[in-house]
Amino acid sequence: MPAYFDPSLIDQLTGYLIIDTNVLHSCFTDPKFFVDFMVITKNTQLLIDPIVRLEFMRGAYQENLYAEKRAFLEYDKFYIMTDHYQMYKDLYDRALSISRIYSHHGKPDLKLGDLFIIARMAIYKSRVILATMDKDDFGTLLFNRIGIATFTREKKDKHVQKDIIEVTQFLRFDQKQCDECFGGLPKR
Amino acid sequence: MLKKTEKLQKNEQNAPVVVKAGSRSHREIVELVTRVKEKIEKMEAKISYTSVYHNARVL
Repeated sequence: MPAYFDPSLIDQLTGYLIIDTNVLHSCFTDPKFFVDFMVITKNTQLLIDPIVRLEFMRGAYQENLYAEKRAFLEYDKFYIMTDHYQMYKDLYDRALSISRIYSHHGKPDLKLGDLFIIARMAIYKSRVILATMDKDDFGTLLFNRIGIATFTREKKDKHVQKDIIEVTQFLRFDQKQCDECFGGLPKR
Repeated sequence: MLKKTEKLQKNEQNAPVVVKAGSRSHREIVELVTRVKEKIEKMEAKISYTSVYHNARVL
């Protein structure tokens, strides 16, 4: 499964990087994707947002799948982001502001999990990068796109072999754009 | 919830407060993911067999 990306992307990805649930899931289900993704993000500290952790773990009703997912999250390159009182307060305040901006731009149905991921990124402003495959909720409204990487994945079963193309984008929160959008909310 | 023994990592101002997730090595994780992929492929093969059988009946 080759990965296609601009080699300079590796040097551009430094600092903290939050992995979205869809990317985490691909890492969990495909060793080639996992290895390539780790190469691309080798200069970053990989962060797991508590919401991403919950999204990743939920639905694993089978005991062995649950145990495998837990074991996967114990990778020594992953860091779990922690919650505390001040964080909750900031998170809810920012989540409300961001949901109003998205509604104003025709997206009132932003998924709750994604809203909290964006809100947490807003707290750390441009210090953190997000890796996601979701192009709907994570567009350039509030983010700067640093780059993209394309992964092709072979999906084969007994009868058919298919190529699936997955695009992961790397985004940085744009505080200036967020302030402008917030300032642009209609007064009445 | 953090355990008392876990060390919070916050070195710079406005840096995310994080705690190391675990101690499993890269090799361990690659082996785990490879096993997961094999299981998924087996499951998909079963599902495909069912759907092919079903399609054959429908046709």
